[in-house]
Amino acid sequence: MAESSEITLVEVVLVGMLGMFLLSLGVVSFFIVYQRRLLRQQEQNQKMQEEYQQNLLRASVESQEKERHRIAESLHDEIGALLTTTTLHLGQIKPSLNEETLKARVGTSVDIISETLQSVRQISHDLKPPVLETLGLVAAIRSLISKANVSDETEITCEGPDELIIPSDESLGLYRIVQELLQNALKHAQASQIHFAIRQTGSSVFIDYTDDGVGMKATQLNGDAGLGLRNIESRLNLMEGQIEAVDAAKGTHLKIKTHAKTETDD
Amino acid sequence: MSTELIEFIRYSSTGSILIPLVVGLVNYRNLVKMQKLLLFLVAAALLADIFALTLYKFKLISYNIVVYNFYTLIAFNLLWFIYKESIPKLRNLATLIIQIAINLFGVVNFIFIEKWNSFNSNLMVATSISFLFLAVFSFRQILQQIQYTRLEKSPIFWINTGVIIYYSGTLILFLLSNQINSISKSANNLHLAVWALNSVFNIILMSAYSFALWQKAAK
Repeated sequence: MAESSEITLVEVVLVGMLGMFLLSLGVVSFFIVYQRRLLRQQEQNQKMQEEYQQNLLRASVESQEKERHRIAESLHDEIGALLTTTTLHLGQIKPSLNEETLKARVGTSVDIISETLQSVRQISHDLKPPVLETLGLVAAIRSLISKANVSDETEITCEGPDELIIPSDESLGLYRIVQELLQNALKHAQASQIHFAIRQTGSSVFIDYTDDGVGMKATQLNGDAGLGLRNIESRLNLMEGQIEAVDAAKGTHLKIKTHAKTETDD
Repeated sequence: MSTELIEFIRYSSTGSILIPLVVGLVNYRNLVKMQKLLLFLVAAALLADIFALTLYKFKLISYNIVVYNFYTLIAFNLLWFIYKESIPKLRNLATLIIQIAINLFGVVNFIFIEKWNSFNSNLMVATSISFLFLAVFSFRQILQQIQYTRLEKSPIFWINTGVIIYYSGTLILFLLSNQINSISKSANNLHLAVWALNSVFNIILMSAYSFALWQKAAK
């Protein structure tokens, strides 16, 4: 009897040990499987993040190349052509010409050179608007809008403070963003009204863009955004900023926010 | 189960301690502090086993048990230091108090409760439960990391695996060890099979320690 109870005890212990061994194997296996799944998810997220950054970089490079191409075309087609014409006119000035013809040739050359200077100023303004440096971002945007407001079909408005305390490089970045939004809207939105609302809270600048056009879904910001939008995202990335598309009943509503360092911090 | 087979498993268990020791010594230059502590633990296990086996051969069984009782406390403290080194969250007053309390309990148990000449199963159970908590906590910490890495490259993963398998497999044995040891030989040596299973689990533990000592941990 004692012997049988001893054997039972040993059997219980053996079964218990094996049972606990199997349970511990189960725990370790579960942990391994779960951790591998988390690792796979992390790797996928990292890959998506890298692809996103590459897309932004590509957009930035494409945008720069496009800009260089545009400047090259302007220089060649406008400045180049005007200077060639000036060279031809000046080449025809000879001592044998009578006074009247000489005056006419010189006058034409001066007119062409003035036109050339005007084109150079225009190209220079496109590269970096002087009003941005002298009067600030909001004034520069108002100036941009006034040039774009040539058609009665679209009314473009802007509201904002006269002065924003932000570094000049971020001021230029925001100007380009507004320029991009405006170009996009005029090309694609078919809007009758476009509005920019600008404000500053602390070191952050907020730009609220609305139009009553055909609209852009929130998914377009995350999905296959065009070159213009990717360019905006790329610029905002440098300013630690973000862009958010708010689903609107009609048209497009975008909210842009930056964490701009104040100039007084420098 | 034959006595020869049980003896073979028993000696294999002692021999298996050599593997992590050799691995640790070969890889010594690449070991971080936590792995060096593990190497000390393995060395202590080997010394304790050799000493205990020698005493057993000379039929000094009571002293043989004393060696294991001392080794239990040494292994407890070394393993706690390993986990504290690996998991900064464990370096606090609460864990220090628990560690001191278990040490004090071990001494009291050795002198007054189970006495020096019997297998201190109370201490074994207390330390086993504490190791299982540490191993599960450590697994949880690994899952909460910001940056995940390949598990097989992590020494603490291998330590956790070995600890969970060995100490959960032998928990019931340690709980009832004194009853098992008092079983008469007429029980067909079945009670020895229980200790043979303990040896098998020990071989698994030493294999896990070998993998832990083989990895080049981030410094």
